[in-house]
Amino acid sequence: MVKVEGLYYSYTNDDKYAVKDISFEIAEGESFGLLGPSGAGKSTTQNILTGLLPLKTGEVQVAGYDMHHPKREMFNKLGVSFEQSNVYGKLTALENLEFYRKLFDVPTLDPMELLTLVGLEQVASKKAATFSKGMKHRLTFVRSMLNQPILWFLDEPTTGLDPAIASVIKDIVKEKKERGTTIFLTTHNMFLADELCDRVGFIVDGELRLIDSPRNLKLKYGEKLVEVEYVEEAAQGDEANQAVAAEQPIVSDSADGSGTGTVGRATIGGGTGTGAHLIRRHFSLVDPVEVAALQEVLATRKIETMHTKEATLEEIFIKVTGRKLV
Amino acid sequence: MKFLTTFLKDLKLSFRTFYIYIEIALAVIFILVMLFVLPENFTTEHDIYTLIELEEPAYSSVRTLFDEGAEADRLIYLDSREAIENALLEDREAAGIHVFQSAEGRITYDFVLQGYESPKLVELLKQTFIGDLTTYMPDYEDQVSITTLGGAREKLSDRLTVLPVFLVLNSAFTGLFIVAAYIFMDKDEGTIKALTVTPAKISDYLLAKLGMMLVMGMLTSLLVTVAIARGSAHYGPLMIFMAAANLFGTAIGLLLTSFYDDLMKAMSSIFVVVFVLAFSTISYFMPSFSPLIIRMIPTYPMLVSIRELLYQQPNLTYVYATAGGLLAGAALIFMLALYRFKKTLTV
Ligand SMILES: Nc1ncnc2c1ncn2[C@@H]1O[C@H](COP(=O)(O)OP(=O)(O)O)[C@@H](O)[C@H]1O
Ligand SMILES: [Mg+2]
Repeated sequence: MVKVEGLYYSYTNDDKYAVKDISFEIAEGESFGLLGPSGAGKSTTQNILTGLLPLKTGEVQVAGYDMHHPKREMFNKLGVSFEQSNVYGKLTALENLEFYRKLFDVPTLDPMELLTLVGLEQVASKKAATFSKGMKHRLTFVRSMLNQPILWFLDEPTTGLDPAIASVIKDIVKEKKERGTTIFLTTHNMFLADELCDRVGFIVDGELRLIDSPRNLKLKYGEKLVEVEYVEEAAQGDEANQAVAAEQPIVSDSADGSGTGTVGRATIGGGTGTGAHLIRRHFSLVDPVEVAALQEVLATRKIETMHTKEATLEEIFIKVTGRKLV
Repeated sequence: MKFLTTFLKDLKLSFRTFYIYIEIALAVIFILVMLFVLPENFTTEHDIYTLIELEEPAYSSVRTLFDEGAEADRLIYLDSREAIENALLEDREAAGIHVFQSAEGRITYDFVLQGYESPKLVELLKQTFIGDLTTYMPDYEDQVSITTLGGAREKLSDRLTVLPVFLVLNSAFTGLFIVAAYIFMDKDEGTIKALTVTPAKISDYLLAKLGMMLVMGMLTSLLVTVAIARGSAHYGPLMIFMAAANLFGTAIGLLLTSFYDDLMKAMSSIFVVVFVLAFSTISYFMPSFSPLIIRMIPTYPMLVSIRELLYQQPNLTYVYATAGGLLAGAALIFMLALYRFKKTLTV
């Protein structure tokens, strides 16, 4: 469905490449995610694939069309949802969709049903200019579904949305995926990539570092993480923690996935004033520095619990690229 | 089909933005000023081109009479009959007087007029210049002859003379500004990008803008023409001509906007273009100053053509030739704009 080979792109037409030497393929019915921090080149890649940016260097085939010579008719098969919502503020939500659907030569979905799908049915006849950011985003999102695309491009589909809406959108994408729509999505949210993608590509500084399925990645990297809970006295602990934290960022399992490498910590026997804390930390077994840190902890601290842990995509991303997903 | 969809959407949008109301407000203000603030003719002073072909002492006495007799009117002495006629063709407000000795030795006063002056005005002119002569010259005989210049056109009221300026301004310039404003609104909202990932063509998009501006321009042009010119305009050819002028103006606007990504950056270029285009009004109002370089500005033939369509007998060949030229120019500029947009729309 999508084939990219040796793709380079420079906005400035020099050797400052926003994406360099990118190659990947997406099979029919597959969902593929580009995972990377902001500025990595995800949107640039999507924009080349959707013809918004001209293909200069490299070979790109999308839905059977050579992107060196894109044809207007190919867009009957494509759906594109944008990172920044872009709807006519002076038109109502319904008018926006009614106008857009007429631009396609293929059967389209009912706009009102689409609005209902994302909870915009109440404001269908309100001008989009009066919408909140999240509402505009939902409108942009459902607009990309109008022509029932067989290949669906989603640029940061849930970024900046409140969790309830994000999960609605996630469910819609999941359902389409199950019905066979090929999906290309970009995100810096590893939970989304984990949940929606058959395969993910890690992209950093315009370079694709690794492509694999989330499952394979976890099998490969997961068993090498050890989670340890141990007791630490206040005085000795602060120093030791800071020392280790400075050497290697350690990811907490915070719910939003934007873990900042803090150390889980809980005061034991609160009120006694002893300052003893329960520390929870992850150690990678592939990193010698962390292995040494783990050995030190094992030797000098009182261990409460200890087990191997499946790594999140984000942790793996950090291991592979040395970068965080922010 | 996609053009039509986009066009209708643009039309709907245009009535929800204030640009169209600016255009209508300008038209209304123009109408009000022309009808209620300014008189139909702005000046009543006329130049009189004069040629005295007499021997002394008759020359001096006639000259003295003229200089004393003509107060409000300005006498301009020329040295040939031809010069008078040329001057009159250029200055449709003026009249001429040619004094010479006839074959029988009589002093003859030949008034050279445009042909649309009222008999009252002719009588007034006669009185002003030769009223006194009868008392001074005993053998005076009223043998005044009046020559109407061949090919002379009726003179338009000042109100009608200004009308073409507004129409050109409205179509060519306002159009240029407003289409730029619309395009930048689309760029700003990012809706252009959304269109780019549909089967609609960029040409559909640009043609829709052209169509929308055409509707707006024709509406306001018609409004103003009906109010100012009433029955004296040739509406059929005028509407055809205004359509051509409008397309030309919008095409320039499209091309200009293709070089910029926001209105502020484009503003200076738009002003320069509008300023250059507006230069032709100088020659339009002062026919004696019409160097080729100014007549080559497209707005010059536009002004002349529209004025032509306010005459009773317009030179339709000229009008249609100009319209054809404008359409050809519009098509060429549109192609350039299309090429530019295809290249730069999304970067
Ligand atoms: N229109 C543009 N002009 C110049 N540089 C750009 C433009 N858009 C993005 N970039 C640069 O290209 C790089 C990749 O950006 P982008 O593809 O938007 O990243 P992502 O979507 O992964 O956040 C960044 O360094 C960004 O600054
Ligand atoms: Mg992006």
